[in-house]
Amino acid sequence: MRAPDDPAARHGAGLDGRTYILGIPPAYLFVALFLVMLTVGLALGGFGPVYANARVICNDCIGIF
Amino acid sequence: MAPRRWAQIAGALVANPWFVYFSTRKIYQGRAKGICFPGFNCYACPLATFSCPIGSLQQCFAINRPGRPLGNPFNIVPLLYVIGFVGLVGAVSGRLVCGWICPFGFLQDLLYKVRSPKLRLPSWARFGKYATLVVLVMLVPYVTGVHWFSRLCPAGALEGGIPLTIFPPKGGLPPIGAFFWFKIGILVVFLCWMVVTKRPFCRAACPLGAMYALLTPVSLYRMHVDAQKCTECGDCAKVCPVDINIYENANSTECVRCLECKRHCPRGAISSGFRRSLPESVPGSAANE
Repeated sequence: MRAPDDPAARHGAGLDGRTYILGIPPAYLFVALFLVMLTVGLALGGFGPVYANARVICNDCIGIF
Repeated sequence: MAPRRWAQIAGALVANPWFVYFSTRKIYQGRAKGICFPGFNCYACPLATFSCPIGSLQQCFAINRPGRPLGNPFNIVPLLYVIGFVGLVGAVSGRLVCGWICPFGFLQDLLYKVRSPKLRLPSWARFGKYATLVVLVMLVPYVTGVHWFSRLCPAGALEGGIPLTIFPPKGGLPPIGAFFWFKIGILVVFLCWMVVTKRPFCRAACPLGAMYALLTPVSLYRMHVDAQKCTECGDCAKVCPVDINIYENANSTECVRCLECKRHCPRGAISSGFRRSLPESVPGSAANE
C-alpha cells in the first residue's frame, strides 16, 4: 500500500485513455458508426426479420425441438 | 437496498412484464418483440416482451448461411440493425448494462451471496466469451443455420424451458426429449458455479458481455482513478464482482461498471461519468487507459 502523495502514484507509463483519432475521441466515432448502422438497418426493414424470429416461441432456447 | 439492486430488479421487470401469460397462456407477440433488450434475457421466457440480442444475432447469421438462395441482398439489413443496437449501447456505456440491468447478471450476484467455499476464476477463462461469440453465435449458425448457442444457453433453460414446461402455452409444446435434460444439466452446472465463483457466466461465457467488453475501453461512459488519492489498499478489489483491480486499468474489458468500487473506496479516488464530466486524467497514468 502506497501513501497517497507518493510520486509513484503515477504508476505506469502509457496513454491516458484519451487517445484521439484524427482529433476525435474514438468513442464518438464508434457511437456515430453504430448509430448509422442502426438507422440504416431500421430504415431498410431490419426490424421485420428480427420481429418475425422473436414473436414465436424459440424451441432452440427451451431445448425442445 | 443499494440503488444498483433496484436497477437490477427494474431491469428484470422491464424485460419480463408479461404476467398475463399465466391467465391467458399466450406469449406476447406485439411489436416490442422486434426490439432487442440490451441485457441477456431469453425471449422464450413466457413473460418476455423484448427479443434477445444474441438470439437475434444468430438468426441474422443463420439467414445468410451458404446454400440458401443469396438472392436477397437485404439479408444483411437485420444484421445492421442488431449490431448497430448492441454496438450503440456498448459504445455509449460499455458494460454498464451487465452491472446494472442484466437479469442474468442479477441472478449471478444473488447466487454468489449463498454461503459456500469460494473459487476464483482463472484469468484465461475470460477468453471463453469471445470464443462463444465467434464460434457459437456467428460461425456455427452461419454454416449450419441452427442457433446452437440458444440450444446450449442456460438462460434459455431457466427462463424459457422450465417455465414453459410447467405452464405450457395454449396448443402445448412438443414432447420433452433427451436434449432438454442435457440443457437442464448445463443450467445446473452454471447455477452451482455461480454460487462459488463471482459471475462465471458473464466472465467466461456471455457473448453479449463479449461484445460490450470490446467497446468498454473506448466507451463514452468511463471510470477514472485518481492516482494521487489511490493507495492501492485493495478495498475496491474485495467488492468487485468480476475480481479486477480497477487501479491497474480503470476501463478494463472485464469491468461491468457496477460502481461498487466507487461506493466503497475509502479515499474517494474513483469517479465515473461521461467523457466531458470526468476530471482530466493524470498524464502517464496507466490506470486511466
